[in-house]
Amino acid sequence: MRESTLRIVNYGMMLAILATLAVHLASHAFLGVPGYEVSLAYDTVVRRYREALSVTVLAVLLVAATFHGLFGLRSILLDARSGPRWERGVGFGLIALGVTMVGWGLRTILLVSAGG
Amino acid sequence: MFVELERLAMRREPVPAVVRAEPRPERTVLVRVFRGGTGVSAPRMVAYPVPVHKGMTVLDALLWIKEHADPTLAFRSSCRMGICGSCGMLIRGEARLACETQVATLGTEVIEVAPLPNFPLIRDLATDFTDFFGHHRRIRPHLHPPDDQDSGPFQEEFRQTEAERLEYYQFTMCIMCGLCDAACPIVALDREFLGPQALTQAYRFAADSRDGAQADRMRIVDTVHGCWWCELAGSCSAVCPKGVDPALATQLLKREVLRRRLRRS
Repeated sequence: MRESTLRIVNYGMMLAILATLAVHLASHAFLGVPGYEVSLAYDTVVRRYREALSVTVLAVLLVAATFHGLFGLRSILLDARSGPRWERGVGFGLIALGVTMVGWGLRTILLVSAGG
Repeated sequence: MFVELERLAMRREPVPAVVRAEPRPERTVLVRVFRGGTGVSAPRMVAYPVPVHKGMTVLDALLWIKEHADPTLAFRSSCRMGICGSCGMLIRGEARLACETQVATLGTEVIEVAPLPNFPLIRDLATDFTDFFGHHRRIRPHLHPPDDQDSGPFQEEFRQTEAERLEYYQFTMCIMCGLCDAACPIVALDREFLGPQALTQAYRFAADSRDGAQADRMRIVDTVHGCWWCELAGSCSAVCPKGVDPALATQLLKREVLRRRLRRS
């Protein structure tokens, strides 16, 4: 995959993080709730994490933050050393780590939304 | 001097074969020069007291050392006027052209001269530019005819407006002195990185409306070791003796790469 493609995806993930964080904060502050006292109450939290919109926002935030964070880690690791074997190793290692993190995170989100 | 030659000619006295016009020295500075190289001798700094006159450059000082003190001193120079780019070296810790650095402007009685960093050392102040020129060649640094041009002699001239020429003109000033690559922290970390000079020339041709190899060139720079590894330290632009601004060229190159990718998708 071309480096510019990765960069474009990363820019998209940055925008996704900003958008989902904005929705996340707004939904706690004023969106559909009168304020923090109500939004942070136990029943409200449990109800919210079973709503489709909240689940979607959390899933998108998980994928975007994981990609963005690991892309940054890739830059640091490739700064530390160079060479074709190291680059391949970093690439495969981070993909494996990212898939694991997203997989585990999505499992957690779905379990919570299903009431588990 | 010419009056003296005339007087000698009129008296029919033999004119010296070599007539030196050395200005009177005003003071003496200590020039500490890096000596040594791989397999030659242990690296060390050697100090030479050099008589300095007004307008004397660091290159003049090195030539004086070679002529009067130590003929084994190795360094590159050619034009003595900031055009060839041969005399790049570290002067008081900064990458500069020796012919364009006047001793008086350094404001010190002790001048340290060392070879350019990020280049393999040959000997003393001479460094190996093989990788540097290799990176330059990789980006195909010459105009290619457009795709619709038949092979064979060109049928008409390439027309270009003033605005089109100004898009890349600044970046044609590069004299390939290597100071930018010497100052770049990414070149220090990664020998595969194309470097500010090659990336600047890649943009120079990418922005040239006459060139037809832009897609190929974009593929070459759109890699891990290409334009994306630049982290905008800016030291390349700070040391460039010609005002080329390699940092700007690299950022413009990134923009051009993205623009083409998004246009294609």
